[in-house]
Amino acid sequence: MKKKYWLILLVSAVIVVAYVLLFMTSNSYIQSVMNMLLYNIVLVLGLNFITGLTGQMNMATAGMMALGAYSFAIADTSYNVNPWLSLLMVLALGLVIGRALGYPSLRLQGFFLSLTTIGFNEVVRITVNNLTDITGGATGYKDVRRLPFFFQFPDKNSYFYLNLIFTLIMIAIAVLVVNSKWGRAYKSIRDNYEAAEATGIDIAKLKIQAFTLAAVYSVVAGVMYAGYSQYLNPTAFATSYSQNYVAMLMVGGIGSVPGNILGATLVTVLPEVLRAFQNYYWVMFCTICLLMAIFVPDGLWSLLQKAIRFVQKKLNRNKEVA
Amino acid sequence: MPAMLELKNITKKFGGLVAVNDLSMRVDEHEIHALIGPNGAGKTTATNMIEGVYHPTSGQIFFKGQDITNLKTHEIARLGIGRTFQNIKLYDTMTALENVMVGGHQLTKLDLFPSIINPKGLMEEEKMLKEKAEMLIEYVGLSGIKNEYVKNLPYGNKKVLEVARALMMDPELLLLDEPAAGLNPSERADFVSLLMRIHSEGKTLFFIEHNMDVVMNVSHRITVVNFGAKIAEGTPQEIQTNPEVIKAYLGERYKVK
Repeated sequence: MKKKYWLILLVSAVIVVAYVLLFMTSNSYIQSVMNMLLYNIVLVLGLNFITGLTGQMNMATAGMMALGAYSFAIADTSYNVNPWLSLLMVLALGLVIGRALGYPSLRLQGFFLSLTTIGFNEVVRITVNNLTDITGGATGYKDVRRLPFFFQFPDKNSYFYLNLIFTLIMIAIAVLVVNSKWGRAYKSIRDNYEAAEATGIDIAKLKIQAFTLAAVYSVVAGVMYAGYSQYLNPTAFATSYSQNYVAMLMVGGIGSVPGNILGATLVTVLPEVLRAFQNYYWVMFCTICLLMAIFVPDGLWSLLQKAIRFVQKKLNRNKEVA
Repeated sequence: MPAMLELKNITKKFGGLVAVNDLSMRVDEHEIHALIGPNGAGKTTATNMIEGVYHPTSGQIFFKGQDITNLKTHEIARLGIGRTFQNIKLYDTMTALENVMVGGHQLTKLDLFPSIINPKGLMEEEKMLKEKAEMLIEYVGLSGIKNEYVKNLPYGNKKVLEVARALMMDPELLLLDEPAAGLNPSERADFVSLLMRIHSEGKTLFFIEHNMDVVMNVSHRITVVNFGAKIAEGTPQEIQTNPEVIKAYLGERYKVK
């Protein structure tokens, strides 16, 4: 058992080092895609708690992210609050959003919850678009001040490392939550809420908790985004992006952290790779996503896991024979 | 001494339909109590009211002297009432062991935020849950399939697994909704011996059942309901000779005895 943990730790360390090396040697286009991948991973991990584990459809990911990004930018840049303090304020905002969206979810199910969250997303987008004095409206919010990394290197490259650290922390927390009693309790609500209640699980509390986790992850992703791009525009937080995050969740694997990371990676990188096909690239991307939804509904990670188990069984059999 | 479970004049109306009508009954500590009656007599509705899924239109329910009439389902469960379902309700995407572990969620103390900043404590709880669940799975005789996904398990195993999950909560009272339904005779015999073992460890059992072999051989007391109202209560011998019960439910076959 101990050996397995070390192996996982070693593999993750190798991936992180490779990621940093790739970042250092590539051009600014690839660098920005790599950074986008970081906050997409955080968003999908957040969405996993509520949609993946608890089974409550959340189409407001981009809206929550927008609230995080804009409040950070406004507090930090317009009002000159200490950036670390603004980060804390944004985290507190995440708690509030989670509750605000969590309570309706106790009453609403299925399509109706999706519609409510889509509505929330649009309300946020339109509000941001029209509060021209505060948010800059459709022309966008320029020159967001960055979080001071080590208190002295506020340039684009060092900010990437800060985002990488944020992502690793968020992954660690997600691993802890998903693979413990919390992950099981959330899943029990998705699988059979009546049985969950009968075993003493407080469904209302856990649903709100899962929504809050999703909201906190989203606002953190918002801060990562605001600091790196330094420019915010309401079109970047449209509902279609929220759908994109659901697609990432589905393609990678619902309910498992490695699956989420895989899904975020594929759906972030694939459109960039397919850009070479110019006009056809959205058609191809959507076709691939649809095929995955039909043939691999549990996500690619489940496929990989099956393969690993198959190989393990083969190896064990060989051992027994020998 | 207060009864383990006591229903006082409970009535449940769904619109104009009276599902349970002025039902009173009492389950004593360490008793095996059966609730029988024709389909649609209101047995499951009564269990659902005990578990807080519905709240009675009028009347009160007491658990060990405490009024639980208007508590929520999870609050009632935490007081020490475990339950299995008529149509199995397990968590399909989890393994058998994980299913049982979910039953222990309410026994653990760490809340979400403390468990994130104290991973060590979380791991200790995890270990405790796992050990207890493994012990229980062994106790009900399913240790061979503990790592199988529940959706792949046969019906009989699922029924037993539900009992293990309910036991994980350390209940004092176990509500079983048709435990023997759909089991073949040998599975049924195993299930009954499991119930007797659970009872011998001091648990109180309250169950709904249609299989008269099980009901008559296992239970200490039987309550019979028809059209939502109680028509008889007593020991198996008394029930078998009660003319009204024979007419409403048992049928002429039992009269010969």
